[in-house]
Amino acid sequence: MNVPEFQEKVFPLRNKLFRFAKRMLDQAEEAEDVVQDAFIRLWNKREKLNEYRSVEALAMITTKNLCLDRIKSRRYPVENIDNHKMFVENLPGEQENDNTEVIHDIHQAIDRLPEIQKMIVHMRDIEGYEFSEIAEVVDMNENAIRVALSRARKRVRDLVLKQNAYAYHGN
Amino acid sequence: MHTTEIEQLLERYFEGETTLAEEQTIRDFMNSPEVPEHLMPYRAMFSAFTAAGRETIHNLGFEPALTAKLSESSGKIIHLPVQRKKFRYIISIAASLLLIAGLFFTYRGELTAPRQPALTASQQIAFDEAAAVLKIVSINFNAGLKQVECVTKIETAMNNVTMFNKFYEYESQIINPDIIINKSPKNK
Repeated sequence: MNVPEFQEKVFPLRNKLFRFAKRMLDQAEEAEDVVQDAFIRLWNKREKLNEYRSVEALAMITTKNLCLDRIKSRRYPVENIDNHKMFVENLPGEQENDNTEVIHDIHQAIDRLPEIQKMIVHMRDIEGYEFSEIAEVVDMNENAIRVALSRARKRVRDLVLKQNAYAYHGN
Repeated sequence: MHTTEIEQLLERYFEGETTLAEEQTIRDFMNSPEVPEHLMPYRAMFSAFTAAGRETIHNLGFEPALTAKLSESSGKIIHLPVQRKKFRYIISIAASLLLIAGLFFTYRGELTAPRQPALTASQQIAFDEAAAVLKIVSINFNAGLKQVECVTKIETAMNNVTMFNKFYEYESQIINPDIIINKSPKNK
């Protein structure tokens, strides 16, 4: 596989990998570094890439492992104020009446989930992966994934409902 | 789509039982203008997910830098840099081992050698004198201590005397019972 081929087949994954890494690391810059490293690892395997059933799954697994390595070597928990600042291109004509503050809090709730739940809810609800694809990345069976996903979703729901209750009391 | 159907889907969604297609149905409903008031909180949840899915790498230099790196490698394997933190960890262990070894070799002689160096004649005299003086101080101090013991004896004797005082007090009350009758109920 040469560079243009690699660019065509693997580069399109970059934003997906970036979102996944950022979800796990809470930091955009570090997430970019991880994606860079993940691409280099894939590039080193370029002769064997065609043997893999899914390059995307391999890329996600590589990203996951790089993130876990970084989390392990951290000495202090990262507290970054603008973690949740996102660079999102809004589609034209889209209504933006949802409270950005609420959305910010929802992301914070996801970020506080245990690592496995965070990964699963991200892959399912944000990236729209099938359970079989998630199973490959996190190396768990589908039932266990459903249980973790249910817990994560309920945790986010609890926060949303609580805030809604506050909002009504406030008025 | 009826609200009741959506509610049922939501229930299954939170149990992790919905398929991707069903989840898309919920999402479409939440994006439509007809979301009833009681489902509004969920709308925020799904729009947060949708927004998160659109995030991109903001760094414009990302791709060119990576492409350059890959092109440079020209068929070789690129080695990822060893993480600096791991390296620092090893260095700190090595440094502390060196420090311990250094201390060991510098002070090894002193650990085994006799502690007291030999004294010169004048130093020996000074030492003897000091010892004699200290001995005198010690004897006098002990004598002083004995006198202090006498004082404590006097104190115990005094306590006995106060006992007698109490005895006399009660005796006077027995002779004059009015005092007991008047005093005791009021003074507890």
